[in-house]
Amino acid sequence: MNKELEHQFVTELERNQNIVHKVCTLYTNDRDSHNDLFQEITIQLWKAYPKFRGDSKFSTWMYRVALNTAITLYRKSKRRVKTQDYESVIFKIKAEEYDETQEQQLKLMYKAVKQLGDIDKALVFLYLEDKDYSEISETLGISEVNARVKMNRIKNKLRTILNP
Amino acid sequence: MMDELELLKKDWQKKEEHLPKLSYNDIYTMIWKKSSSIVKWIFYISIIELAFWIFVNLTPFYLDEYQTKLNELDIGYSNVFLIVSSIITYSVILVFIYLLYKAYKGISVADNVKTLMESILKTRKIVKYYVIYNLVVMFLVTVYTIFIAFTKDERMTTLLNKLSEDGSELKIWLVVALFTVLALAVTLGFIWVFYQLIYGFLLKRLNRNYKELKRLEM
Repeated sequence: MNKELEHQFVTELERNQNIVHKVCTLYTNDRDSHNDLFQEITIQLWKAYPKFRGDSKFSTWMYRVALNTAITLYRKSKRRVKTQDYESVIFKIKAEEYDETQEQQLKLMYKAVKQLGDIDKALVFLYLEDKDYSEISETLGISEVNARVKMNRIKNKLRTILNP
Repeated sequence: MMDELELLKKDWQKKEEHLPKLSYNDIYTMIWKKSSSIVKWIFYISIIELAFWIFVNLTPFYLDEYQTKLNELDIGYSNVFLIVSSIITYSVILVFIYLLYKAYKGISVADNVKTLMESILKTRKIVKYYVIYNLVVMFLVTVYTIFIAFTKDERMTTLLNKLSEDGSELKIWLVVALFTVLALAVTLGFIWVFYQLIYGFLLKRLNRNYKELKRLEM
């Protein structure tokens, strides 16, 4: 690995790091785990980088590697102490920006999303990132129809979580 | 609900400003850290397994005791037997090493979620087949050894002859059979539990998620 490749990679990742942070936010519950997963994703991205040919956008490629690491490769470390609820740090909702009912609703929604299974979470994540169904289906390896069906089911699931 | 999710989407995109920001140097240090992914774990475990079974397979060939015993038993074809069994043993090991290497090369973190899971499960399956192969060989060798012991070993045959005069030959056969079955069951059971623990622990989440993706296709 030469210096130029390192520089190119780190620059790209620094610019696109939000994607990784968002994946970490969804798949972990405290700051230590967040950092741990961020590091693992970075390592996986770096290992795969020499094979990245630029057929797709760097960010598209990043979504895949980041989700694959969070869903499949990452092993949660057991010894970690649970610190404060991390989503309250990341998803701090500024009171002045929203009226109270909306704020409450959003808080509940985020909580509901975090309760979903790994695959459902990935779908919601890509949906929130404004990806279309063809990209969602390509990232997950399922058909577009199935991605739509699944998304509808998740919406129903969220509805029952929100209105028990 | 539709509107609620749209609302969430808008809010989600606004949240970017609250995300942590790592510097160039933070990220640069990270790329040299060691990975602790399950692929790495499975890789180490499969290497240990391969090494263990290679050791089990090859040790007899280098034990003088085993060689003298083979000659002593005067099976007649011991040399041919030894050559053929070494060739088979070595080729099976080589084939498995090659398959395992190919499977590892096939794991790509840039594949889609489902394909990545499949290639990891495929790798795991190769190790599983290797273990099954070894357990089957173990079983056959045990049965064959007992057969040889009873028919060719002098001490055993004299013992058996003596016992048949006593009329308790059947009893002895039963005891031996029971003992063999028990010993095999314990060994196989132990290995099975060991596997369930290691891979069950490592792949529980992967299996669950993979099943979920498969269920979508039905």
